[in-house]
Amino acid sequence: MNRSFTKKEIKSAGEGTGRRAFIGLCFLFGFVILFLRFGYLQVLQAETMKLKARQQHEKSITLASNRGAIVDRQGKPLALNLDVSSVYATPSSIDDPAGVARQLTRVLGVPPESLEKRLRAKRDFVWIQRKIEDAQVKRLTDLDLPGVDVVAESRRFYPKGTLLAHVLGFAGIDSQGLEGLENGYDEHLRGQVRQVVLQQDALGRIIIPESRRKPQALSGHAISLTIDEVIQYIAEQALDQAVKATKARGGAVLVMAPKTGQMLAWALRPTFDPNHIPQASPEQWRNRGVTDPYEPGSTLKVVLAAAALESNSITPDTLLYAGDGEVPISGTVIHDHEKAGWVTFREAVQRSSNVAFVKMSWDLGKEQVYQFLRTFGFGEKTGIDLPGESIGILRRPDQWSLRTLPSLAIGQEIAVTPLQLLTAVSAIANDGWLMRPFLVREISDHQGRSVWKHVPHIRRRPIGAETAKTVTDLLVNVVERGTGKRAAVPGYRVAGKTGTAQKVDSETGTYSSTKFVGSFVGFVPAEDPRLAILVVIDEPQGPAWGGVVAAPVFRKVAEQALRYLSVAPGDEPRVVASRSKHVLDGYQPNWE
Amino acid sequence: MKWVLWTLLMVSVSGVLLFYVWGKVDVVRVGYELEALLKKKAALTQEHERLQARFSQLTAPERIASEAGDKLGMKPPGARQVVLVPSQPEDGNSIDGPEPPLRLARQTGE
Repeated sequence: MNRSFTKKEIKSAGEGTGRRAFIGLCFLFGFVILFLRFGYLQVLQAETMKLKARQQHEKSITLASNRGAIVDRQGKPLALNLDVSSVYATPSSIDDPAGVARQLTRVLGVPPESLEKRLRAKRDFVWIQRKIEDAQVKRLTDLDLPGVDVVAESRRFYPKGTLLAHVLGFAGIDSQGLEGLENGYDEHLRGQVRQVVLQQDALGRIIIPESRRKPQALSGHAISLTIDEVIQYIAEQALDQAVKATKARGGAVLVMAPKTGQMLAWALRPTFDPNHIPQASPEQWRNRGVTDPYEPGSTLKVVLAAAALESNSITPDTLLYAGDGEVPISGTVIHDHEKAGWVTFREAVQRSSNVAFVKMSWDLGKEQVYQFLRTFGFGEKTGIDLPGESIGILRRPDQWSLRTLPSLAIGQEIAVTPLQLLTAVSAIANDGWLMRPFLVREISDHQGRSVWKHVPHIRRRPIGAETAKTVTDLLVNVVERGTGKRAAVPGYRVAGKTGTAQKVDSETGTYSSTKFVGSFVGFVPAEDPRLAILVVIDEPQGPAWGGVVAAPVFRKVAEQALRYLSVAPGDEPRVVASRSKHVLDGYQPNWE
Repeated sequence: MKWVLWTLLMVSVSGVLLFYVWGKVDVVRVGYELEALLKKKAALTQEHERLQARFSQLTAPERIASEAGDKLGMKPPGARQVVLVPSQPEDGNSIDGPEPPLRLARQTGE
């Protein structure tokens, strides 16, 4: 049935279509605007927007990977890493920097002004405090401060405290080696630098660190030392007792395996704890074993005796006139402790006769004395793998005065480092071969694979085996009958020499009558030396004779270390053998 | 028929979109779980390192000497309290030459 529409209905229908069209146009217009805006943001502003999003959702920081461990020759850790937390902030996420700074101060103890300044920085990332304690981390987590979070870092830790501190050195806040082996082997110990990108959601929660999608940065290489923790402890304990008993200013005990140049112990006093560097001073952490030359006194006579014997200018039975115990030298007089008259060279060494050695040095001549001192390594670095080694002081003969040659004969007008002297005496223990001392025997990567091994290096041969044997006999005589009796170790033949040197008074520039260095250097067992030991006691109060203050320390260290190494006494049916792990001499040396 | 087709199309599109969104949400969820596990692993590694450091401290010669001396009343053996006697080599090939090696035999009282 057809129905005709009224005019009103037709008008109404037309208005409805117009409204729909209008609304449709409005939507269309809106969509066009949105589309244009969308295109503007997505195409024209794309890079800017990406950057903004990245700034809001990603935080990037650079951290060092774990440093490699340092272990002793038995694999016992001497330096390792501990995970600790560091606090950082994202200033853009903090609305109330002053309030947050006040709360942080209560936990960290840092002045609020300093914290607020950092929190107001126009940066995406600022460190608040590095490597904080666990208790502080817990309190910070409980506070749940906006824009403040913690990230794991690695801190160097020395589990044995002061043990071997001067050799190990220490690392800084950014895990960079600053002193000792930590500095000298920094490029091996330091791990790869890692870039950590933290992705956060709208609530600031970390989603997945981008760094975990990349290969992990590798830790540094581990270093195995020649030092033995037990011998080190024996040396430190003996030195501590001696320094305390003599009220000395300081001291040193260095122990070397003379056939290879491996250092077994390196004890110095005063010392420091590398875990607490802010409480230590450079005076305490300086490695005097290589940095501080001193006048060796009569211990240098070992080298001069070897020089005289090697040059055939003397034999152990040659008679020397020590007269009434003094000899005038260019306006001064060099004394002996007692009048000796005619003595054999053997007795001169045994008594440590200054007069006899002065006369012997005149026979030898300054050129030969200088050449022998140089070939024994004085006036040059030993080449040990430690930073900051001094060459000591040994002037050329054309710079010598009339007094220099006789002064050298008694160990004056020359300055040597403790390591130089020990290395030279070790050459006598090693049939005349002068070795390069070393501390690091092996370097391994993070998976424990060996990447480098140290092979002992022969530097040169200052004297022949026959001379070395003769000098050894003279030095055994010193310990059995002479000034070094207190160094004798029951059951073993000890070869050694005492020394008592006056120190130069820095105020007057002359030799002090109250400040001395007492020392003893030697090796044991004399027939097959396993240990060469130097003991230096600096400025002892009371008697300062090397035979009194230093020789007993030698005996204590040698006795305990020989027992530890299972070295049988010479009067036992079998001599020197060990299948134990404490094998010191297992290397084929290389020539330098 | 037309409406059925439209409905099926809409349901399919919605399904695909929902699956896509679900996948994205699940990735984030797994990300949170992964992060939690990594935190747990880091905490365990940290604990392991701490225990190693503690072990190293406790086995330091200084501490052992102190414990042995102070708590147990022990002291280092004297010169003649340690006797070294020959022992049989483990593999018959002595590393120190033809002489059989020695071993720490006993500690005798004075």
